[in-house]
Formats: sequence, C-alpha cells, structure tokens
Amino acid sequence: MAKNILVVDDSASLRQVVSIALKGGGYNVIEACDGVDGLAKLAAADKIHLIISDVNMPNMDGITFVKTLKQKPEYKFTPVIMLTTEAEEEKKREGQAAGAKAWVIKPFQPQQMLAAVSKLVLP
Amino acid sequence: MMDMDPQMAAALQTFFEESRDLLQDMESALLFMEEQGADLERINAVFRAAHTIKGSAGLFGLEEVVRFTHRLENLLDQIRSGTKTLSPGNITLLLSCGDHINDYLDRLVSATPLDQHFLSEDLRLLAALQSALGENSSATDPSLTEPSLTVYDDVESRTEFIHEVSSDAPVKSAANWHISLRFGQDTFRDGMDPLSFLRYLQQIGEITGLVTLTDALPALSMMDAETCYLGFEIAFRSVADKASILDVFDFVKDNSIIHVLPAHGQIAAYLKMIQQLPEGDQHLGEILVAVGSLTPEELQKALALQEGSDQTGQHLPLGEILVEQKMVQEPVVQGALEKQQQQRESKNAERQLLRVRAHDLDHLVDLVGELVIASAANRLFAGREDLESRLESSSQVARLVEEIRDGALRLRMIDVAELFQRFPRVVRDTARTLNKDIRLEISGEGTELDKSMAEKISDPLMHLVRNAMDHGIEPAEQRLAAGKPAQGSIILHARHDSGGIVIEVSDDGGGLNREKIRRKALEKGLISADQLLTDPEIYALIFAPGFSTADTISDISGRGVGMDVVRQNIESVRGRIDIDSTPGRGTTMRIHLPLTLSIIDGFLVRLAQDTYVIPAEAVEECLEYPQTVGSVGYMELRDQPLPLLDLSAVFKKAELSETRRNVVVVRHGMERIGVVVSGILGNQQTVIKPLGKLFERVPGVSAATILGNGDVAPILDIPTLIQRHYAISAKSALVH
Amino acid sequence: MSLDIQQESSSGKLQMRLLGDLDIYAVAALREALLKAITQFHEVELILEDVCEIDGAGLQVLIAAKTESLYRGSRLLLSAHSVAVVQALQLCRLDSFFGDPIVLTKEMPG
Repeated sequence: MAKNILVVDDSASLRQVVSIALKGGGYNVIEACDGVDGLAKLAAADKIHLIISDVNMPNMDGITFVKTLKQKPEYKFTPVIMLTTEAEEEKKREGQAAGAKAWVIKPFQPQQMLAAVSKLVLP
Repeated sequence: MMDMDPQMAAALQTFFEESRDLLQDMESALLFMEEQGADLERINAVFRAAHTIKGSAGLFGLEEVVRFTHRLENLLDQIRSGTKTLSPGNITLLLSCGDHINDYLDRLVSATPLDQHFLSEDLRLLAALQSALGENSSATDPSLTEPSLTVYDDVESRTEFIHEVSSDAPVKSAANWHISLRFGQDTFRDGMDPLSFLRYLQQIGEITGLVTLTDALPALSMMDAETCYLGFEIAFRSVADKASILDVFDFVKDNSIIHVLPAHGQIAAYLKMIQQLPEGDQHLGEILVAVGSLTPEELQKALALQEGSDQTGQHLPLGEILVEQKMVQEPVVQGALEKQQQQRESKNAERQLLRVRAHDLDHLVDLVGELVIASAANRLFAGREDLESRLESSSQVARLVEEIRDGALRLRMIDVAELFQRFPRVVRDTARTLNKDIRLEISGEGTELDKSMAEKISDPLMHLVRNAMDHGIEPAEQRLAAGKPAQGSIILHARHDSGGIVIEVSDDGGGLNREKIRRKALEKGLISADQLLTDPEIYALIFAPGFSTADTISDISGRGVGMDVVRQNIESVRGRIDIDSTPGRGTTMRIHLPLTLSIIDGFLVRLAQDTYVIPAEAVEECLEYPQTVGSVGYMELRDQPLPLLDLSAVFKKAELSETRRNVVVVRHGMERIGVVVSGILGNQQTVIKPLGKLFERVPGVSAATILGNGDVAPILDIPTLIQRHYAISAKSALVH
Repeated sequence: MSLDIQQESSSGKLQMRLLGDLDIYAVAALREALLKAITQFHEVELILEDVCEIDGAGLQVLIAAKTESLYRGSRLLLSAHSVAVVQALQLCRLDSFFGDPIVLTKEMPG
C-alpha cells in the first residue's frame, strides 16, 4: 500500500512538481497550501507517513505548523522534512527544535526530494 | 517544451501563472510603499514572492531565474533586516527586476528567443542589484564577468530535463566499504527509521554482509521501547564515493556514530592514490580529502578535536586523531604523511609574491655589502692581540646584522595608505547608493603594518565603513535640523599605540542609541534587567552573536548585522575592537591590532627563572616594590593609588618569594597598572614571532620572541592584561 | 493504522495475533503485552500475517522479547510472517536469530 506524504507549501507549482516526483517513486501525495490547510488535511487523512513543509508561508508558517502537529499523539513520531534555503540556517535550527529533523535546501531538483523521502519512508 | 512530460508541462504552466500573480503582488506592494512608506508586512510579502519564484524555478531547472531571483532575494533580505533601505532608487530597481522576470517568462511561454535587448537588460539589472547590495562591482561575480549567454539561446532544451537521472556519469568501478553505524537514542522519536536508511543504502550499492548489533539493548523489562539501541556493521559494495555514502545518513549524523571506511583491500588503492596526487602544498587532511578517504566535514571535526587537545596542553598529531576516531585507517594516514614530507622538501619558494619598495631593497643590499667588508675585517682582526680593534670590528658586525634583520622585516611591512586606497571609491559609490553626501578623510599614512595583517583586516574595515555610512550618518534633513553640516564625514585614521596599531573608523553621525541597544540586548537575553553596564560595555553588545535579527527594522538592528563577524575577524588576528560614541556627535570604532611578524622595542623583565617582554612603548617607569604594600593589590604612586598586577598569579606560577621585586608601570589609553616582576633586564629590539598553537589561547600573551640564548620569551599583551585586571576588580568590588 | 493485539491462551500456551502497523507508535504497548505474556506463559506464539508494516522500533522490541524468552528458557515463536516482516528480518540478517521457519509465498522475494 502506497505511503501517504503530505506536502505543505504555498507554491502550487512546487507542490505539483514534488507530487509528480514522489508519485513517480511510488508514494501517494496529499497537498496543502499553508500550515492551517496542512492541519486540516492531517485531520482528514487516514494516516500520513511523512510530512514535507515549507518554512515561509502565509497564514501559518512552517515552524508553527510543525510545533502544532508534533503535539498530536498520532503525529509525534512522524518524520518531517523542512524546506529551507541556504540563508535560513536559523530557521533550520528552529525547525529541528520544533521536531522537523530532516531538511531539503531550496532550490532543489525533484530527484533530490525523492531521495530525501526514500531515506525516511519506504514507498 | 513539446517533448516534455505532459504532467511536467502542466506544472510549468502552473509555475507561469503563479509567478505572474506573485510578480503582480510584488509590484502592488512596492507601489504602495513608494506612496505610503515601507512597512514590514509588505516588505515580507515582496520577499516571499521572490523567494517562492526562486524555489519553484529551481525545480524546473530554470537556472537563470534562480540566479536572478537569488540576487533579488539578497537585496530584499537586507532591506528586510534593515541593512539596506527601501530607497526610491531601490523601489525603481525592484520594479524593473519584476518586469524583467515577467519578460523572461513571457518569452519562455511564447518560445521567443532572448535577444540582445533582453540580455543587456539582464546584465544591467544584475549590476544594479550588485551595487545596491553594496558589493564591489568588480570582477568577483562570475555571473557578471561571464554571463553564460550561450545558455540562453536554448530555452526549450532546458525545460525538458527531469525525471531521467543523468546517466552520462563516467562508469566507475565498484569498491568495497565498511560501514559502522550506531544510531542515536532519539532516532525513532525523531521519526527516523534505521531500516529505511538501510533500504536506501541498497539503492546506491549492494549490502554484501550485515550484522545487527543488539549489545546495547536492555532486557525487555528494562527497555524503553521508543529508544533506539540498534547498531549495524555492514559490508557494502558500491560505485558511490565516501561522501555519497555518508550522505545517506545525513539526517541522523548529529546524534549517531557513523564510520565509513574503505574495506581492507582498498587501502593499497588509497595509498596509490596518495602517491599519485599532483605536487602541491597540501596538508595531510587535504590529501586524505582529495583521495576521498576523508570528507571535508570529518576533517573539520578532527581539527576541532586537535584544537581541543591543544587546550589541555597535549598536542595530538592529526593523523593520530584520524585513526583514533576511525575516520581513516592507519596505513592510509602513514602514506599521506610520507607524501606530505616529500612535498615539504621540494616546494615553498614560489608561493607568495610581495611588492617591495626598491629603496628598501637597495638599502638592504648596501647593508649586506657592508657586512661582507666588516666580517672580512673581523677575520683579519681575529688573530691579533689588539683587543680594542677586535671589539670594534665585532660590534660593527653585530650592528650590521641587526640593521639587516630590521631591513628584511621591513620588506613585509606595508604603508597603511595601501590598505586605505580602495576606500575613497567605496565611500563614493556607497554614498551614491545611499543618496547621502559623505566625505572621506584619511590620515595616518606612513603607519606601517604587516602585509598579512592588512589583508585580513581589509574586509572587516570595509564593513565598518559601510555601516557607518549607512547607519551612522543621518539623512541630510536630520543633520541640518541638528545644526550639523549637511555633508557627513567619515574619518579613517591609523597610528601606532602601545606596541600595536590602532585603526579608527569615525563618523559624525547620530551616535549609537544606548537605550535601544540595551533594550534589544535584554530582549535577546544577552543581559539581565538589573545588570549595571557602562557605556562601552553596552556598545560592545552590538558585537554579540545573535544581537541582530532579521525581523526588526531599526537603525540599531542594522548596525548589528554582521558585526559579530567583524569582531571575529579582528579577533582572529588577535586584535580587539571597541567603540566610543556620543549621542548626536558620532561614533568611533577603534580596531587595535598587534604587530605580529614585526619588530618592537622590547622591555625585558624576569619572572622567577623566565624572561618576558613588555612592549617598551607601554612602559612608563620602573619602581622598586614598596615594603608597605598590603594584600589589597594597590600601591601608592605620587599620592595616587596604582593597581598592582602580579604576573606570577596571571601565569599560575609559584608566588614570588624574592625580597627584592620590581614594579613596571605600564599604560594603555588612560589606564595604568603596576606589573610586579622579579627583576628588570632592560631594553632590547625584539622580533615578534607568531605564537605556536600552544600559546595561541593564553590570555595576556600576544606573541613571542626568541632571545639571544635561544630561549623563547612571551611578549605580554598589555591592553588585555589591563582590561582583564579591571574587569576582575570591578567584579570583586561588586561582590564586596 | 494502529496496532491491534488479539490474545488467546490454551494449556499454558499463548497465541498473540498482531494486526496493523508494528511501528514506533505501537511499541510501548506491545512491549508491555509481550513482557506480560513471556512472564506468564512458557510458550508464546506471535502470529504476524496481519502486520502491514514494521519499522526499526518494532523489530527491536521483537529482538528484546526473543532475548528475554531465551534468557528465561521459555519459547517465543514467530509464525505466519507477513511480507513486511520477512523483508525486515532479511534486511537485518535476523532470520536465523529468531530461528522460526518462514513460509515463502509467491510474492515474497527469496
């Protein structure tokens, strides 16, 4: 059974490309456009195996989103990949403190994202 | 674009639409701020737009967009953090950049070739962005000097990319590796699964053997099921290099123990590789990195360990650490060491060029000529009975040798004017960018400093000057209102002072805002609310790491950006920086540098059996140690209390037992202190040698010298000693 | 999917059937159940055909349980391994450690 990956980013095109790459790798993808939407999708989903979240988003940023989901017993051990840029070293640390222990640096190639996900969750 | 995967084509379409929307939002926000003034929320929105476009463009391999928006993002980031202002000029620039990205996307959609008009606009904007960033617009940036225009005429093929992993990598032969893994206790809780990493490993090679280690696993009744106790020893065969294998475990590397070693059969291959390395000056670590036996990260870790071992006083060779840490195997290190030895023997001469004044060199050659004559005379007199002639000729030789040494050392010194020469242009350009009228005054030419020091200090100095211009000097209206001339001025000044060099950057701007800094430091938890701080102490807070953050815009936070880096750079050459500031009158940043690799007049003192050197410039007078001094550490000097500093305490020596001791009164700036020593040996010209690793972190010692008898004598760092002494007594005064 | 544990005992022997994901979310409860089972019964059979997924944490608790039973001289049998369980055991070269016969079905990799 394909594993469910939640992709939270305010860029629709980014979500689309990530989704193509991950589906190509045998994963199932659910998209959300910001932290608030992300929490809603989590509540609606059966089980999410991995979460990919941008840092910089309107409505609810990635750090707040991760902190919130890590407080939920059903997601406290779920791996989170944070999307940061080179310049956001500080954000990366904040994200790690919040519970996002993996990261991918933007801009990235779709294959890099697939590789990062494959290290954490089997398709 | 036609050949593109239909899904990707659809995603690209989304990217076009999304980018147009974002660019539109960006434009509206910029126009609004042009009318109503900058606000953080809109600046953030503009930043996010550029940020999002950059991130997505990267996914489609649109490198030009990535590069361009990256530059744009840099400027926006600096505006966001307050380093740069959203000036009308910058608004115009940002608007043009938005138009340009739009133009590029339009051409991409309609498959219109990128013509000359587009390319020249591209170059113009990149240059404008660079100058808005205050970067040196000379040849440092490849995107300017080498605009890679050829890439542009190939819009279509660039969007095909993706999904196919490139298979044009040269075929490498598989190697055997040994991987040793001990996962950290929080691995499971962090959402990481060791089994997933192992499966991923199988994607880049073949696991030919594996042992699951359960030694650390407690009994079922004792274990915490959510804690990870697992370890693995793996034999792995792969074409991947060491860095790629380590990369698999990147997400767990901080808390786990991970070793990747070439399996035994590979060691011979590594040794061969080391032997075959091209000649060049490489350290052991670099050699091992070059053959792929060690990753740059591992090297850094080992060097950190080495530094740690230095602090405890036992210097461990790097090779030993590498083997100890299981980073590389012993024979490999041995091979690298041998290689390094070979290189040492054959190289070194041509590494660095130095520009030398012809006059200095001529002088030196003359002196050598004189020395040849003098030593011939010396030989002639040596056999004679005539003591006076012998003494005279040998003292002649000694004088010449000394002069030659001085002359040779002078060759390394450069006039500070050379360091300052790039600043008039920088100030002019920066002033123009900032739209301020600023004059630069330079004084102190003729002050000499070591060339390598000048190189290291150049960038921090640049930063300070730009900062002073950007945040120190107020806008003209504000200056006029304060009764100051509309034109601001920046003064760069250099001079010698107590055995060191002082370089000052002064502005006649608004001065630092004491209260703001204090508030900010409180907010950041750098100080506590009840802490009493002097003005210099408060000003020094702007050099604290993390003092400034990107999310506030104020002139003060702007000053904090990168200031900790400035301080680190200065400290790395054993310098110091301090600040004088008067509200409404201006600020002076003062860099104190030691004179490494130079000569000073030294004042030799004895402490028990050891000799120390005090820079003679710092010495005011010498006294006998008074009989009546109490234990409080003060003596009276012409009715003034003089704090005493017992060197034996500073360097943790046994307390001086001699009955006759001396006090050397030294001064730095306005402060004086009496240094208590066992005896005074007198003046001597002293050649400063940089400190070895062992001494590098001894506070109160700035360098060392070698005495006539071959002994090493530390040179005291008087400013630091005085500062420390005052700091310690201030503390104990508070306690009492 | 969370883990469900069904137990059935007869004449000193306990059969435990695990249903769902044998992962980090389940291991705390599973450890308790296994400890209790091993303490009370000298033969415990773990039926694994309904285990959808197993991760490192799940495997670790099985290893600890097996070690515990060996130490106590009781028996812990794994039976009817699901594909996920077989793959995990093979990946970690632990098939012989547990020593249980694994019935290979068609879709299982050898």
